[in-house]
Amino acid sequence: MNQQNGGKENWATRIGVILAVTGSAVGLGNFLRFPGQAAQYGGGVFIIPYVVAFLLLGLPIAWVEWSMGRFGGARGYNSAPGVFRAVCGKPWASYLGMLGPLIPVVIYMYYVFVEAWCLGYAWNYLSGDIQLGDEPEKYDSFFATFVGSGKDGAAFTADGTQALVFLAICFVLNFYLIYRGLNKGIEWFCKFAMPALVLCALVVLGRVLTLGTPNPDLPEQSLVNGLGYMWNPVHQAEHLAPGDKPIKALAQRSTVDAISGFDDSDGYLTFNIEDEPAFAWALEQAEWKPKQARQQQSQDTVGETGPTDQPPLAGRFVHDDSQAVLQINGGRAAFLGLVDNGDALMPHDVRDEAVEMLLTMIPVQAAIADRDERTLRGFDIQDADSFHAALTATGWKGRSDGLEGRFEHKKSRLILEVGARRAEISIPGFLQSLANPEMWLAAAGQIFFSLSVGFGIVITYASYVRRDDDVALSALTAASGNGFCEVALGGLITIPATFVFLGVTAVASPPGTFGMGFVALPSVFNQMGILGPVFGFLFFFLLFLAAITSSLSMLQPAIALFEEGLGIGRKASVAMLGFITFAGAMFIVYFSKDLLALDTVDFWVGNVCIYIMATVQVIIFGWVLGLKRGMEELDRGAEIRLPRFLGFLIKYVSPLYLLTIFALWLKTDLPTRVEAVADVEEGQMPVVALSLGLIAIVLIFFILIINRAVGRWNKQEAAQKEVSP
Amino acid sequence: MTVTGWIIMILAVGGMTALLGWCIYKVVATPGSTAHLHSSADETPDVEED
Repeated sequence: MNQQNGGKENWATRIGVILAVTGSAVGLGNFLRFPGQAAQYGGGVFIIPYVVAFLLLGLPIAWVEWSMGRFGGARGYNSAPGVFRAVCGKPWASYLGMLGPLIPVVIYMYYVFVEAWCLGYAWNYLSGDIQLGDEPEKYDSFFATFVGSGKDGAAFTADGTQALVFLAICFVLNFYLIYRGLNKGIEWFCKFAMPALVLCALVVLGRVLTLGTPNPDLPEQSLVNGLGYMWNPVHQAEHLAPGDKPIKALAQRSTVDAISGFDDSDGYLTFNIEDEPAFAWALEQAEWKPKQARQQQSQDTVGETGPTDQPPLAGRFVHDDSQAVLQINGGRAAFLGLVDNGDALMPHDVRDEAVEMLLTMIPVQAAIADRDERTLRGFDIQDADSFHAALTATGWKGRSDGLEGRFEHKKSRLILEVGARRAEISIPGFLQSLANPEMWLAAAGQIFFSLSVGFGIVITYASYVRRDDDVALSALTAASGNGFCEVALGGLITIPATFVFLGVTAVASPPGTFGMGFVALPSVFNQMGILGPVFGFLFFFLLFLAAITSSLSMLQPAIALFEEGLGIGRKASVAMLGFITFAGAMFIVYFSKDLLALDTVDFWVGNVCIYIMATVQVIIFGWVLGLKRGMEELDRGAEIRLPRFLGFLIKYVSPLYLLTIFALWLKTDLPTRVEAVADVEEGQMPVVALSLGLIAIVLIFFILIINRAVGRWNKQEAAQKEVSP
Repeated sequence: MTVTGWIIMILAVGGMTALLGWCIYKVVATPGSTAHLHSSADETPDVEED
């Protein structure tokens, strides 16, 4: 129990606590991850599972955390272990809350580094150092140098000095604010930072919504089409740039032959080829040959038809020593294997798998029964309008005149027949896209991570709310504030702006949260003209504000545990936490190659642990505290009436929903992550194993602290019983 | 951009904005809500006590 401060710390204002919780939730994910996820899963259709997850998962867990936090706070506990003890009424329950302080503290270790990137980028826009011209590679290189992703220890060389300086600034700022206390530090800062964040976002949004069509030579790269890419229920062919001649369909059922199904005598695949030999190798692995080349090949000597004889291709092809990636307008194939002067060293079965990957990732799936008929030529079109509309929808931009045969267009199916030959192309429609289980998983994950439920932060924040103060409306307000930043701001800025300036290729396969934010968007701001740097500064400054209001919240749970568990003051708590987080952050900063340490810690703590924590919380609320008491607690002081079926949701639906997505998600990601532990390059440090070691050390540390706290709390309770038997 | 796209965008953006607006209205306008407000001077963090 918090004897040290006598339970005096409280939020000063209602708005203050709401802004603090909203600030904790709003982060980089709102402006970078959400738009990327929505675009990846077909645009507007993503919003449906997103809203369902918000209602069935996000909001119920948020209410659980707020009410449990206030319940514990009223009994003198502010940390998750203390709150769990109060809710369960058992000393051992404190250990169930061990993830409460662990999660935010470990996340802080890398999050503060990312926060430093945001501040550093904002500063570089002010100083003009990030105006790198039109070549995207330069932004990639700038980012790699800034964060030191080229090699371990890069941050401690002359090139990495800048990141360290900004890291130091962020560290000092965070600890200064946390040292000032709850309302004079966190609350005071959030009262300014959150409105400033929204203001910056609105200014950037205003610019994005007035972009129009900045390049008259590329009329399809317009704002309306950019918004369409983000919000249309399924992606449309209109988003293709002129000159792009994608072959999306007409693939064989056989996976390998599927690639050779990309036909085109008119030269359909147009690629910017930077490394022709490697590209030719990748195409060869895919067994793709243009029709002309095939015809030529039948006449010429085998092997003489080189890549230069092929029609131009549109898309992206990149490779390094171990992997080649072939991307065709959103379709993407990763060819795992070595590229050695164009010689194929890839095993056949791996190749088949890679080709299948390309096929499944192409938005429009297709199949043709006869492998010899791979072209639309020779069809007689009865319904020309539907046929052309369907072809356009599939991305087909080749000639369709002179086609013979039968064409039938049934909603999402395009059927082409010539005699016994039959081609059937499935176009994922709205309902078909909606039936994609991966999308539901991604939406649930996005809501979960975005609302910051399961972090152990809201429990601590809510513990400082008075016993009879409302939590129902406050939780809803904080959640809707986060949703507003995500949907109304992030959803209208990132993808549309990137689409308008960089085209469909840049958004079809988003390069991840960091790639989108720190590589693609700087390139976008560069093309915004004379005011580009201003908008670049505003955008990264708002990211910095979003990050610092989140990182700040990550420190309070551990501070609360130190204060009430060890009986030490804020100064000592801040000093102890400062040492721990500094050591951890230096670990993350040092092992910066490919951001492997950051990624590993993010997966195991920032993903796995918060799922576990959220599940434990919901089960404790619904099954240990009990629905009756739980709902009474939630209703106390409530300024809105919560629906009665909320109890059913919390007790049954939310845990099931959580466990299901957790299991599916682990099934997808866990095997790779486990393999990564042993995957150590010769002469390199086992970074993944070391990162897990770091997490284990912090966990043991907190278990020891909790052990000490439990002893202390037991003594205090015993003393209280003696005083008032 | 398709008509469905416009509808989804307007519903999503408008819905989330309206929800936030309603919440803020409730927080600000609920009678007695000011009773929760008090001076920060009443709640001095222990940083000053140390």
